[in-house]
Amino acid sequence: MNNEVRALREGQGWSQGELAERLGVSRQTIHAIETGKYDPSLPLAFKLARLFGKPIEKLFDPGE
Amino acid sequence: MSILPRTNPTERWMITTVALAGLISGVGRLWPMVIDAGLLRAADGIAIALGGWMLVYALGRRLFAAQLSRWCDSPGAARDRYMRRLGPAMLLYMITLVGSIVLIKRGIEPVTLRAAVAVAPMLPVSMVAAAMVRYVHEVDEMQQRIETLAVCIAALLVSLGYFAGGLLVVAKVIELEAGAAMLWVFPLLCMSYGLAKFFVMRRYQ
Repeated sequence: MNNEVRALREGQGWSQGELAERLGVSRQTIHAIETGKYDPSLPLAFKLARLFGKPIEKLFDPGE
Repeated sequence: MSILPRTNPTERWMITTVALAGLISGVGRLWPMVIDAGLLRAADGIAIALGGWMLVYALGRRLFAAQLSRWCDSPGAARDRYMRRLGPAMLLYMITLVGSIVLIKRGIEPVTLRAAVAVAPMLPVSMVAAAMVRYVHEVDEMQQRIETLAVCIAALLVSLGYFAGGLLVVAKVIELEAGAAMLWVFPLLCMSYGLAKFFVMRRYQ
């Protein structure tokens, strides 16, 4: 699944570690989400969306 | 200032165990009448096996420091709590295992007492298992997926290996002592889990 997490994180000037700390997950998890190797659960996806102040569908694109 | 800098709680517990085993070995060599022969053999075994493993581990940590920091990046607090629970449990395991072997070899007549002494190492092993379960509860969702997949693969590998072994024993192709085979289940499961986790984690790099 494609996502905008890296762009939004970098827009905020946060490192992967900082974003991980804000979400209560590991830096490795953020890296895996950003590279599309791990699709977050719905609660974590909502947390990300709230943190960046965007609707969830703007963050994640399931593709076709 | 710490006497043992740049070590985690488990490493400190392992160093303590090796030092204790080494001390028992040394005392046993100098004053053979003070230390029981069985205890001396067990202490030698622990000092050599655990000491050797620590040497390999220290070399691996030095050679693969960057990769390890990437692969072992579970939330620090959960990992630290796991290490704090694991260390004392492993030390207690060593002590109860050595004590149990020595006492059983000396001979215990009442069956119930012999059974209690024989299964005494199960208490610290249960503590290790509980620490593992709590660790999985405390890590984040991706780490939980990695742990679950690794445990599933390890369980499959070990059970398939034992199934194949059982079939070969029944067919009289190989001979295995049942007690020794059963004793190896948990260590094999732990080793397979470590190996499986290594490969599962690579998927998320």
